[in-house]
Order: sequence, then C-alpha cells, then structure tokens
Amino acid sequence: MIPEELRLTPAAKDGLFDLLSRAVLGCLLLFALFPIYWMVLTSFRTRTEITAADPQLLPFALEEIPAIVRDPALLLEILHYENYITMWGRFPVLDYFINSLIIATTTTAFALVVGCLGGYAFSKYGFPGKGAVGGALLATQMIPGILILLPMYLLFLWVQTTLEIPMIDTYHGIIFVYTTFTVPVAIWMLRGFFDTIPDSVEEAARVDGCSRLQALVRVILPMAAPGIAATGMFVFLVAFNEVLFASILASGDVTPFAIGIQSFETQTTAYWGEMMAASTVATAPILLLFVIFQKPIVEGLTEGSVKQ
Amino acid sequence: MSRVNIDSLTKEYDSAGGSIVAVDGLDLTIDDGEFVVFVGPSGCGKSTTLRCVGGLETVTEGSIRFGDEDVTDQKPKERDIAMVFQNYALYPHMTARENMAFGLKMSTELSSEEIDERVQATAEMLSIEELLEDKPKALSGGQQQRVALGRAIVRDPEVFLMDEPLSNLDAKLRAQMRTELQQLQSELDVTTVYVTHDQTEAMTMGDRIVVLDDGQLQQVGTPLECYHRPANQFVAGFLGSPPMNFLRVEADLEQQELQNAVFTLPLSESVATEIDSSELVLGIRPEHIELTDTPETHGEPSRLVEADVTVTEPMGDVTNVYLDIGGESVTVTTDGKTGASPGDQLYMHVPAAKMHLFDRETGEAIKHSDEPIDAADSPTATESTSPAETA
Repeated sequence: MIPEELRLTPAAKDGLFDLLSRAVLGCLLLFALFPIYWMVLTSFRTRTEITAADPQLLPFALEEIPAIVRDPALLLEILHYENYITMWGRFPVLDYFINSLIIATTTTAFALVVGCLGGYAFSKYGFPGKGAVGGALLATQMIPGILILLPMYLLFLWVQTTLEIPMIDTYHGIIFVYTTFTVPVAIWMLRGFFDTIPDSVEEAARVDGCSRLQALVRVILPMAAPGIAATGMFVFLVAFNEVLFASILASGDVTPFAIGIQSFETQTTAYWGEMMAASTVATAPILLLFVIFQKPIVEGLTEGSVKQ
Repeated sequence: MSRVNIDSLTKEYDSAGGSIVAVDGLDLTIDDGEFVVFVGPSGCGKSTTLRCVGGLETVTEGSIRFGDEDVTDQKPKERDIAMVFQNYALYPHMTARENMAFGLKMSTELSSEEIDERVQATAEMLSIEELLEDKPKALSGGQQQRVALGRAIVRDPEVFLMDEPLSNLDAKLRAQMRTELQQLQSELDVTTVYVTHDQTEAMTMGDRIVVLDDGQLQQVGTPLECYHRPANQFVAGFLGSPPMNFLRVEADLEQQELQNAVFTLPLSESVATEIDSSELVLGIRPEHIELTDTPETHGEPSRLVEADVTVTEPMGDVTNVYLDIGGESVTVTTDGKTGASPGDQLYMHVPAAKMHLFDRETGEAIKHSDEPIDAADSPTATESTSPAETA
C-alpha cells in the first residue's frame, strides 16, 4: 500500500500523464525530424565539413551564437549555399523533379477517380461477392512489392514484344504500376470516409431530382472532400517516394527524382552536399502541399449536415 | 397534389436466414390533400412503406399510384415528391439558400430568378429569411429543421413525405412545430404522409392515422375512431398514454357475467349476445375508471372492484394511480386533487359503457366504449371524461 501522503491527487495524475505523453511524443518527433534537419544542414555544408571525422550537430560553434543573434547576416557567411547553385548543372535535377510530378499527379488522379467510385460502391451498395472482393483488395497490400517486381517486369516485356506497346521506361508504364497498388488503398480509405456520410443525405439528393451519379458528384463528393484530400495526399506521396519499381522500370527520360538523386553518388565521388540540396528543394513543395491541405482535413466538412 | 393509392404493397428484404417481410400486403388510399400519419412501434414497416412511396426502396409486390399514374417502378426524381428526413439530411457544403434551391435547380426548368423568388417566399413563410446565407453547421437544431422543411415546401410537390421529422427536437420545440406543421399543411393543401412512433403526434396531427404492426395494417381511421373504436387489442394498447388497461376475464354467458379470480362484473344482454368466445380481455382506459372509498353509497355497487394502491404519480393536472388487482396492475387517471396514496384500499368503478372487450385468441375487438368519435361532439380525443358522466 502507498501511504496516504504519497498518493497523487487526480489533478497531479493528469499532469503527470500529460507530461509523460508529451515526452514520448517529443522523442518520436525528434526521431522523425532529425533526418530532415540533417538533410538541410548537410545541403549547406562544404565537402570538408560533411566528411569531417567529427560531424558537428550545429552549423556553427556555440560561442558564435551571441554574435549571430546580434547580426544574423553572419549566417550567410557560415552557411555554404553553393550546393544550391552547382547542383542544377551537374545532373538534370529539374527533369527528375518534373518526371516525379507527372508520375505522382497522374497516379493520384487515377487512384482518386477509381477510389471514389469503388469506395462509394463498397460503402453504399450491396452486391454479390462484396466481402470477397473487399478481402482481395486488402490482400494486395499484404504482398511485398519485391515479389511482384519480377513478374511485372516480365509482363512489361511480354506487352512490349507481343502487343508492341512500349512499357519499360515510359510514363504510362510506371503510372500503371503505381495505380495497381494505390487503387486498393484508395478504395479502402475512401470507403471509410463514405461510411461516415449518412445515407439520408444521398436520398435527399435523389428526391431532389438527382440520379445516383449526380448525387455522388454534387453532394457526396463535396462532403467527402477532406477524405479525398487525405487519400490523394497519401497516394501522391507513395508515388513520389517509390524507389523499388522505379529503379527497374523507370530510367532514361522518365527517371523520377527518387532515382535521379542517386546519380549524385558516382563511382568516384559522392556529391553529398548537392544531393541534399536537391532533396531539400524537392521536399519543399511537398511540404507546402501538406500545409495547404491540412486545414480542410482537420476541419471536417461534414459537420452540421445531420442531427445525430 | 394528388391522391395516393397503395395496392397490396409487399416489401421483403433478403437476409442470411431467408427473407424478412417488412410490409405485408398493405392496401391504402390517401385522398388528395389529406394528412395521413403512419404510426406503430419500431420495425412495424411504417418507414419502409414511406420509402416505397418515395421510391427509395424497390417494391417486392403490389403497386403505388399517384392519381392515375403508376409510379411503382419510377425513380424518386420522377415522382414529384419532397421528403423531410429525421436527421434533416441538409447538404453541409451549401448555404440554407442553396439547400432550398437545389431541388428546383435539379428537377425544374425554372430560371435562377424564379428559383430565387420561390426560395425567398418559402423562407418568409417559415421565418428563416435571416438564415438563408448560413451553412447548416451554423444553425441550431430547430433552424436546421425549418430549412429542411423549407427545402421540401419550396418544391411544391405532389406529395410530402415526412419521416419522423420532429423526433430530434426538444419537447417544447416539438410541440410548437407540431401545430405549425399542421397549419402549413392545411394552407398548402398537399397530400402528406407522415411517419412517427409518437402517438401524440399521430393523435393530434393527422386527418387519419394508419396503425401498423409487424408489417401489417391494423387500423385506418380518424384519430378518435382509432382511440375509441380500436379494431383490436394492439391498436387499443398502442394509442393512449397511459395505455389502456387489459384484464383477462372469462365470460359466463348464462349468468351474463364477466369473471376473473378477483372480481365479477355484470354483462348487459345486448353485449352478451355478441360474444361467441368465453376467453376475453377486458379493456378500459385509465381516464374511464372512477375511484371511490365509500362503496356503500355508490350508485352501482355491482360494478365496483376492490384494489390496493401501489404507486401514485401526481402530474399536476391529473394524477396517475397504479392499482393492484389480484396481481395485475391497473392504471387510473384521476384529477390532480386526488387524496389516494400507496397502501390505500379503494374501489374502482368500471362503467359498462366504457368497457372494451377483445377476443383473447385473435385480439379482435368485440365491444367498444360508447365515446363519441365525431370531432364536433368531442373537441379533444385524449381529454379525460369526468367520472360523473360515466354513470
């Protein structure tokens, strides 16, 4: 038994719990953010600084902080932004980035169109084999990508030789691959969002003169907008960050950024600073996208539709 | 406006163990401009019937006609109906104005000026002009309800369908909207089908009520008809609060008596001749029983039954007194000034004229009370008849 005087009051317990959960979250956050910090920091360093035997956590010595606070312009002298200039000339970074955007955006568009229609059907319709098809969709996510890489490569070869449709190293080829594994996720995610929209809203739209498709487009999809944004972002990131399939099936003119930055590491030298500068530049728009779409997702547009 | 004809409507749902019959051979004609209330317990088929009329459910068998037009297989948008849902089902991404205009935009060729005019006129009728630019989430429950109602009214449809539209409002607002809806309906004169499980709404709002149980039609009639001349024991027990008292009795036709382990009540000759079963249920409304503690001075001592008071519920205007009669509970509604308290021994008077008798096996009514059912004779159905009149 704990003596009476040592027992925590309920308020103290809450406070302690709060403190502990913040500490755990803080650790996780540090874990997630440190690589990004390191990426940005490295992008501003010279080769000597990067390859130093004792890498510094900060871009400057602790003694320099007061001077920097007094005159922030000093930072420009300490940080080396040359990498951001030289990286463009060394490799076609911009092309890589544009390739990634084309591939990720098109994949997202396909996944959302199919995902919305499929997710809606799963959520609101009953049809024979619904459980089996739903299970099969989920099962596709349980197969490691590496297992279907070789069959996919052979399939592409077959299509190229038999049907004479170029597949390897084409936009449509890699988009096709990404669509196959993002569509099931999109259907499952969107189904969950459609489930939260009451049937009566769609029924109201049908009574108001809509066909089922009109009700979907004019009423249900706007209500599911936060879910569609979240799903779209997820799919976009999967397609933007994918390395395995891209490394085999998308090179040459369609090389995406995730593969392209590897060229900074050549047989003789690794241009770490420029690689990190390119990565920083590529991360920025994605981060911006998150910031823009975060609000509607958190806000929850469905509020106030029906009285529960 | 249109007459609605429901002919042998059957709706079955497939389920794992076979099919579930939600509505079973329903026949009903709703007159042009009539306000009909479907009432019954959960799962009785009232909402399913409404949804079949609205085209939101397919019909398994039977047909539905609006006027002369068979609409059985028509889609909701082809039917010229408007519906108010229990949860309002407003479109959250549209303002109140857009919510109301949406149906006109989708289903008519009206110009946007004409649509605007109609929305404005309807909003004025419902006093919601101020709310037109707000989105649903900025509105209170009562305001959302009005917008949902406006969205239906602005369409000027053949038929209004309302699925428990008041059940999410608080008690005070519900009472207010009840009268307002009635007024609106009689002004607009649009055929209205209204679904509720609340018998107060059923009694007060409808021109006629349709009592359903287990997918089957129990009775159609004016509220007073169903209240005072229930077709069977289910209707008798469903309408009225507190509900009608039921006591199991045997009929002794030779002695012209109703018997029970505790009491014996005389049976008039005219009633005795109508009875063909001895196993009966005696029904009597709580407001039709008179209590007395002086049996010796009572004018009809043969119709008195001894009872113990178990609980009293003073409601202010009336008091509900719960009695125990040989293990069966009987509720009596007396005026609010009654002096009865738990533990008292009283006598209850069961007037012959107010008695209902039901066949115990089939539940069919054999005898009704003699309460007038013409609305002109009796202004309110639920008003309790004073004990003095029952002699």
